[in-house]
Amino acid sequence: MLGPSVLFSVSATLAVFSTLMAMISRQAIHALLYFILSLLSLSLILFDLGAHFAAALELLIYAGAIMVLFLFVVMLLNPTQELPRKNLWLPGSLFVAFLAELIWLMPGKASLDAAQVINLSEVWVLLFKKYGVLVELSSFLLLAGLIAAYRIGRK
Amino acid sequence: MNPIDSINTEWVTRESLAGKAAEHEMLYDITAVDETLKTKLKEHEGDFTLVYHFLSLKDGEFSRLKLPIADAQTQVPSLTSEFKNANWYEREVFDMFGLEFEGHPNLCRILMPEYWKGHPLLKTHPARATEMGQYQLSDDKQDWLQSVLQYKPKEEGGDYLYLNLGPQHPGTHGVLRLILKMEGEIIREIIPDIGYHHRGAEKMGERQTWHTYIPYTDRIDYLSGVMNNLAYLLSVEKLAGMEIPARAQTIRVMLCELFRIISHLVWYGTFVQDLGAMSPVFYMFTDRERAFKIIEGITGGRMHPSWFRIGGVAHDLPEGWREAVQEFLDYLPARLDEYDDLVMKNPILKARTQGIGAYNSEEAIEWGVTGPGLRATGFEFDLRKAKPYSGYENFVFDVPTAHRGDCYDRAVVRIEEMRQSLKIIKQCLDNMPSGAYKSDHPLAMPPPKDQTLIHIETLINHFVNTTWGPVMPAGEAFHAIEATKGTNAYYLQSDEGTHSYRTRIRTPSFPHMQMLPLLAVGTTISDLMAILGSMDFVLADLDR
Amino acid sequence: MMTFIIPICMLLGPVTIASLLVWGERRLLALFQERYGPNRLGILGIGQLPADMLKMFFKQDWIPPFADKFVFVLAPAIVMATALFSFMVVPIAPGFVVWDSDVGLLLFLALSALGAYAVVLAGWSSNNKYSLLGGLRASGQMLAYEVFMGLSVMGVAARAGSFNLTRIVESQSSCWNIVPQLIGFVIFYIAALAETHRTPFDLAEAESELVAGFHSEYSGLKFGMFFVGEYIGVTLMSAMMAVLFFGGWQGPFWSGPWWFILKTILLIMSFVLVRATFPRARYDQLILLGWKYLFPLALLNLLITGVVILW
Repeated sequence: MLGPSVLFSVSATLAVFSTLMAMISRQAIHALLYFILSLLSLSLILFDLGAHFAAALELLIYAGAIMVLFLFVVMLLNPTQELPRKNLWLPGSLFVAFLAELIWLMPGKASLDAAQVINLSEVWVLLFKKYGVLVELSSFLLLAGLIAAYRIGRK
Repeated sequence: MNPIDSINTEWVTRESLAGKAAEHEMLYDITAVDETLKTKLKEHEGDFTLVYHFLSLKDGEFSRLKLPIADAQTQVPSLTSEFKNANWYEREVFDMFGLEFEGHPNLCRILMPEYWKGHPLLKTHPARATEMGQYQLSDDKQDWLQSVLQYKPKEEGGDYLYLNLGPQHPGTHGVLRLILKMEGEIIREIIPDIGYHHRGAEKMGERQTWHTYIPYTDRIDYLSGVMNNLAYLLSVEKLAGMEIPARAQTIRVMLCELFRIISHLVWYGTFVQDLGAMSPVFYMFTDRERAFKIIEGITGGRMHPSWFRIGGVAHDLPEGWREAVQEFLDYLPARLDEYDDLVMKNPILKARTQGIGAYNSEEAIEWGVTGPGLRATGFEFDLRKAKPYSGYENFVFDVPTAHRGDCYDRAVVRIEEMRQSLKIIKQCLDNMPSGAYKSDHPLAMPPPKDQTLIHIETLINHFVNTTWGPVMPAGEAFHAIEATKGTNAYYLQSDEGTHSYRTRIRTPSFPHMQMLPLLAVGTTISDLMAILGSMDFVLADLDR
Repeated sequence: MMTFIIPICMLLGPVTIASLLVWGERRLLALFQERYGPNRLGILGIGQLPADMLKMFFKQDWIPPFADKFVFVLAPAIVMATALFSFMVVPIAPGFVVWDSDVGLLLFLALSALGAYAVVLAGWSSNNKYSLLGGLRASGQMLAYEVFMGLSVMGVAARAGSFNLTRIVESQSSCWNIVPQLIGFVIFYIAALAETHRTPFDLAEAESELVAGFHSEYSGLKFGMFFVGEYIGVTLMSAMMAVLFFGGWQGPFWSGPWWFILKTILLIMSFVLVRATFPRARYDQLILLGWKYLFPLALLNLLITGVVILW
């Protein structure tokens, strides 16, 4: 395939645009929603590149877990909200674009399979053999974070 | 000592009230009487009498203090510093009579809405809607009425969430409104707003004859049917001074205990449903249906049979009642055991109810809690044992108690009470006395028909008794019974009329609900539902 | 040709089963609860189903003026979309799967995690305090149970040596995973109950506490989407359990998709039985149960499985 694919172009545009919107939205929840859309688009880009594992993890961890946590915190801190937004075309069109991509993807999944898919075991071998030390170090970092959170959470 | 109901009665003054009141263990009831229209029973020249009832939990003896009030402008000393449960009772007196209490922390209307004009239990207040002119509700008026009901939280800082729970909410079992101030899911403050189910039952007592008021009592605690009749009739019968035949008493006891089971089954099912289990309520309603079959066979009615009469019951027991009752006695215990396995031993239910909404005996007495709510704290007090009425002294049964006083224990006590009720019914079945099912006292039933054809005096009596209804001798009578939710009492004053001069209904749900903030503050909404469920209140019992 | 048939089957199949469940659950619950349930219209009362659907279609579809319109409409769509997308990776028979992906299991987990947004956003956008509380509860619950759900199936993935669901089914040819991965199954089952908001974990809609929780303000077809979406979720979880722990299409004889369907239906019925039996847990108890017991248990399960495999 020559040059960036259509999927990549649309996803990248979506990602950039929704990230921008996430920054300038006044309503915290709306900002989070744009951010989620941007993560979803990123995940699509990873799919397009053949990194299925990374794409699934992006969905699972970032879009699925961490953003729910963000949403939870924002909802908890800000139970009252401003007047409902009148302007619907912007989020609507972003959403429609994303949906169109997914629909376009459905029959095209054969081509996705044909693209250079990164083998899972390769990823693991790389992670635990070549970058083993790095993985260990980052897990230490996470552990430190966990302990710190526990300490703070206990008051 | 009042000769009619043998309750120690004392007149007090405004100064001596607090001192006299403090001698008593539990404040049972506060009410007032508008004296302005009295002719026969007039005991002082003032416009009002305040009547306080106290309960001694050692022997189940009641005592009464009466305070004469000259007019509506006179301030009455508040008992809120001596008794915590005086708060709502005094608010009710203020609401109903317009009497103001000195030193009351929050004297505002409780049953009537804030916009109500006048005080309903004054003799000058109309009793029927038709006496009040045509009712019209314009849009402006409706908006205004709505705005009065709106709760406007004071600006007090902090990130609180104000939640209006009810009057229409699936968890409140009726029209109860609770305003919750919450921090996340933790409740920081509860303001109960009651009165949505207020139907003026006490006011109706003043225009219904002694007999025709019986059906109204059924609808006070609408789950325990004839049990309400009993509380009312025992007071009326004291006024009339009549003896009840043994058979009538035993029939009454049997039906009351059946209704105790019926009421507890509804409580059981809805309590568990409040905790989110959907099946038990269906099982328990099936069982209840079986009990209703017996009630239907005996009385012809179901939830509100209004079957007791002054001096006895309406009919004798029908043929075949023994088999029906026996069948139920054989059926229910196994089901109760099964529910223990399904519900009470369930770890989720235990986690939801154990240690939730707990109080101890001292707090219970302070707040006027009676019935299973008191017994769950380990305090063994049951009017059926402490001061037996209607022949309860002849029955062998236990008073179940528990010791932690939490939601789970209240459930345990009620479930065991059902078993004890079955025991009592069994004894009724085995030892049903023969004889009359109704007293032959002239106030209880018209003179025998064959006599009316011979003596003109008897005919007149018969005519008067059936058209006007009986005329009770002047006096006051108070009687309390162990109802399903606590103790239920009727305080009646007769001015030698065909209807009561003042009917006061003291219901158990009222003080129990008053205690809610104490139990539920600091817990979550889920716990609040468990507490409400375990309290076993009925809105009509709360608001009357 | 098959490229079209399979996706259409996987789209219509779950929707049909889910809508049948609307009726089926009521009948089953009635069976458990000594009553009849809907038994009048049509054979066994099955006519209740089109009647209910028609009612749902013709009800006023009201969007409260105080709601955040776009999010309000988006939320029910997310429920249906994520659940139906997940069926993409479920293998019904050898080769009968929309996308035989190497990361199938992860995709399923990711999509069910995304499903959490439906409830959270519905709760938030309704601009109603009961809904908001429902949404808050849902987000905390989903966050916690997402983790255990993922961890509980890692043992299965380790045994099969792949995230590919077809491969996982094939790895169970000698012994279903339910035997060596019993702990994993129990955790997965509990997490599945929490993910689908079924009793005893129906905190987000707890009707005796929060009226209808996150969907209090929804009516008409949007409510219907939540309603059917829940059943699609149940179907999905049952199908996944059949695949992950009960050997998918494999049976003691005549292996084929019918075995898969039978297992799925039995598991769905177990969901109904659980609903009929248990009371609702409290919010904090649920979260505590998750983090304090299920989380270590899932880790332990994974550890033991790893040790056994590497032995």
